[in-house]
Amino acid sequence: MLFSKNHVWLDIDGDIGKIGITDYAQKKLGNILFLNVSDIDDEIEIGSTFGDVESIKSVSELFSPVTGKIIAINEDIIDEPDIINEDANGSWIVEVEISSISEDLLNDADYKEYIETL
Amino acid sequence: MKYDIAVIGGGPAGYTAALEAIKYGYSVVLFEKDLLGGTCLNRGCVPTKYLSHVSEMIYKVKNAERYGITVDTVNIDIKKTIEHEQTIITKLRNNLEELLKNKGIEIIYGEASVVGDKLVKCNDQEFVADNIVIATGSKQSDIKLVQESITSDEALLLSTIPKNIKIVGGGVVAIEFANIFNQLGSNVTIAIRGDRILRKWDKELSVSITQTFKKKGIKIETKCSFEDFNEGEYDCILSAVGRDPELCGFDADVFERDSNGALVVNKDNCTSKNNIYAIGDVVSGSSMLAHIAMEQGRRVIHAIAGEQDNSDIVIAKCIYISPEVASVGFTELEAREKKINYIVGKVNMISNARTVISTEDRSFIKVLADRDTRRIIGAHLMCEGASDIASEFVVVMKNGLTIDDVKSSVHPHPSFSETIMDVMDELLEKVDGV
Repeated sequence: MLFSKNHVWLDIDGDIGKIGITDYAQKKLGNILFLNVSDIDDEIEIGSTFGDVESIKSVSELFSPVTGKIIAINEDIIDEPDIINEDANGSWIVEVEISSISEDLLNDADYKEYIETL
Repeated sequence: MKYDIAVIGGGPAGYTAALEAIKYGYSVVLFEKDLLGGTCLNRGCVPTKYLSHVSEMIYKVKNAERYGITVDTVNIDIKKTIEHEQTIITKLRNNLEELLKNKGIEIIYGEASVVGDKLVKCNDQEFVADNIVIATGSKQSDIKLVQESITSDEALLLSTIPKNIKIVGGGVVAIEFANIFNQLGSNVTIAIRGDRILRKWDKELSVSITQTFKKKGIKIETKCSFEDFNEGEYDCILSAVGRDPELCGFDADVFERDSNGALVVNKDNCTSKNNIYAIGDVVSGSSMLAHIAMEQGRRVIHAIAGEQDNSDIVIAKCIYISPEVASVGFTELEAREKKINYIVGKVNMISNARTVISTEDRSFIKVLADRDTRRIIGAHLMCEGASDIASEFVVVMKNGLTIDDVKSSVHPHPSFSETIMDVMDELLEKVDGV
């Protein structure tokens, strides 16, 4: 699993990747109320937004760690977004057919080190 | 009898055209085969808003415990409810008739038919008019997905509240009835062919309504087949699958029409025949909204008078549920398709005092702006008072106002609409980076 400094994680399997938000992000957001995500077949780019997450504290945009095409959306999470608060790393939001990956992604240890600095 | 203008149909399009024509000094005859006010007043906007209001009162009383209000039993006498509905509609219809007559409009009740370019026949009498305006409206679609179903017309006159109701369709009418019956205490299931209700609306609004409905116990069955529509144990199935143009009163075959049978018109609302115009729901591509029909009614008279106004009509589309939903201008999808360099500002109303006082439902205001021109190009709202707040965005977009213009317009506190100021802050942050 890789992590971005925008606090999304990427789990890669071949040229398919699942994207979710990190445990750090869910803690900062608080109780998540709503997820607004792009559609299946939408093209997304590294650094561009693919939706937003609405919590009791704020509305935060989701920045993509990859360029590619959305091939699936986790409807269970859309129906009950607060599942993310219970298990952020186990709650993928979108599945993407990847054409390229951001070079700025961090491994688990580096991401942990990064969030220590925040 | 000779008139400057003959209007066929006394709904919002027809009566607005007739009233506008009087302002120009034209002599006007208006034909109505049924009830003045059309679908809107008699079987559409007004009675559904009445039932929304009644059902919301019940819902609020039943859910008032958090305010310290408890009511042992809430009863509804639906026959009395419907009687009062009819009293209100009759009163509004009478007011309308009086207004039209006072303005000097000749009202003829009967089924009119266009028998020549300038000739209308009704009740065996002939009426000559220099211009004819067809405003015959629309009717329930003939599509029958469920054999034993009722229409929305019939749903407005129910003598009992169904325990279990299935609503076939995912458009505005279906959604509003789902909200009404849910608040009246029915178990409601919506059945649709596609995978999302309100597919022509901003996706976020559609998903938000789905979530709100699910929390209120309304089931939504997606990707339904014909067999699915007919399945299940329900004491009432409401079919709300759209409307067709009402083509009575003229020989439809002599006019150019689209694949749905609706009349094709030019930018001045003139049909394929000179001096015969069409407005409202009978027109090709109609949004089936009364306020658009009314604006067409005004504009068609301006065109007849040689004062064409072909500017874009900025409209607010509203859904009267709890909380209300409204949409003005571009959705994100439309902005993308038009390759507009747009930004989105969205604020949920969890810190808006008026919202927190009045509802526990998730509420938000989302605004799209053109990054290059800073103009507001779209607004999508789900909140208390959304249908009224939307009017602000109509003014903003009609006049090409910018994020800065809106931000510098002080909104009252406390109000639902003050959230717009927070949305402008978000947009300014994105566009200026401060």
